[in-house]
Amino acid sequence: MAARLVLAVLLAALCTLAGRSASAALARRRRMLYDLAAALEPLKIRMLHRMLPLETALGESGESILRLVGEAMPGRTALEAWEAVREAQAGRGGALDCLLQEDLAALGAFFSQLGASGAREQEALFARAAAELGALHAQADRLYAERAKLYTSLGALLGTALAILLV
Amino acid sequence: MIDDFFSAFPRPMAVEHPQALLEVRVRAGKRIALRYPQGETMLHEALAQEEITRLVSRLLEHSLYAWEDELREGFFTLEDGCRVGVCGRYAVAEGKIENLVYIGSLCLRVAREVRGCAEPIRALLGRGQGGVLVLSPPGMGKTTLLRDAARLMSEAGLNVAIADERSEIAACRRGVPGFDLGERTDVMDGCSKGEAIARLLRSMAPEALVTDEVGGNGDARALLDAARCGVKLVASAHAAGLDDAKHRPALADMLHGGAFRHAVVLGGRAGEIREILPL
Repeated sequence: MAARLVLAVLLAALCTLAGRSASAALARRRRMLYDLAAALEPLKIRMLHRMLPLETALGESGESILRLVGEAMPGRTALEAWEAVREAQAGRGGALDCLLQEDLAALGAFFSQLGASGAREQEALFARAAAELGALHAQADRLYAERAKLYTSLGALLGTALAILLV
Repeated sequence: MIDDFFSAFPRPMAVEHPQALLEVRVRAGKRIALRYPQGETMLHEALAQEEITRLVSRLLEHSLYAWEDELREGFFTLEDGCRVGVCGRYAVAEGKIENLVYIGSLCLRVAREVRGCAEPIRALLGRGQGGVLVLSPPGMGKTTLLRDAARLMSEAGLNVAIADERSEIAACRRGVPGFDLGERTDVMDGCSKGEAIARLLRSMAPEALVTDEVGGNGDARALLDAARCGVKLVASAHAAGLDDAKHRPALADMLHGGAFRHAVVLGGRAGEIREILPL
């Protein structure tokens, strides 16, 4: 009986944690997309007005993913650096694990052209990236508003239900 | 450095004595040509056009936007002052070159510091000796001579200012010269000669002004202004000799305007002073 009680408490805790984890992932995705979108304009200024080389412009970013891509750049194009960062960080516990496939695809499209053309084309690239990341952030914001509390509550409810069944 | 240039190639190149190189020419599908003081050697290697494009991208640190203006002019300058000329297909709109669309060939000219190469003209570089105009066809060592002349004048106690439009004289990295130009030398890097000279006169109180490849009317006006302010000029221009220079309107204006007191003509081998002429 005591063992069942302990198991019930553990299950309840685990389910609650799982719910909160899912909710936290939504929050992290929302935050990351916001930070990336906000970091585009300063990056554009460093590149197209201060004329910094791409590696330096990325490295001076206040946003962590852009900085990681800058650090991975020596000897690589922006796309190659992004793919190295993605491989290292997209797994569980990595900096990119909260992002969805469509987010990663949008970033890949951005980095594939970053630095690879003249100023006018780069301006157009930044405008497209800002629009795309803005749309993804708006979607992430909506999902967070709709589901964050739901996941937390569901987790707690499921845990409680399982605990009751066990006991 | 020349090693950094070759390290950007898609595969290792068997280059002998890279530190002695004067020039490297890469043409799509053709053997790579290396020029040394004693003559030319062709490697058995050739690069395809796509490989040349990727090579340029690597040399430009994958930051094409930052070198658009230079590419439009047909060249870019590496960190160490080496100039890379580019040739290929340009997009033109309303008669103006817009940008470089396809690259067909490159020519790297190796920048070197040759301490002492300006010693033969040291006497012309002192205070009160008037301006010096260095003349030669391309590739004969004008910029190398200017570099050493700036160092000698600085060591002699003059405040020297350099208008380094193409970043070749000083090879500045983030505003700091890569070559030894002396302790009393200031460099305005990467902006047009006219703009640079006006700013240097206003804010750096130079006693001597050094600049490379003068030839346009804007250059002539700026240099004559500087000469009238009492600044000693040491400049270079493309010309086979003094007679050739006099046929170029902007150079003729400078010569008639008294901007220079001596002409130094290079010829024969790179760096060889053929004649020194009073003006």
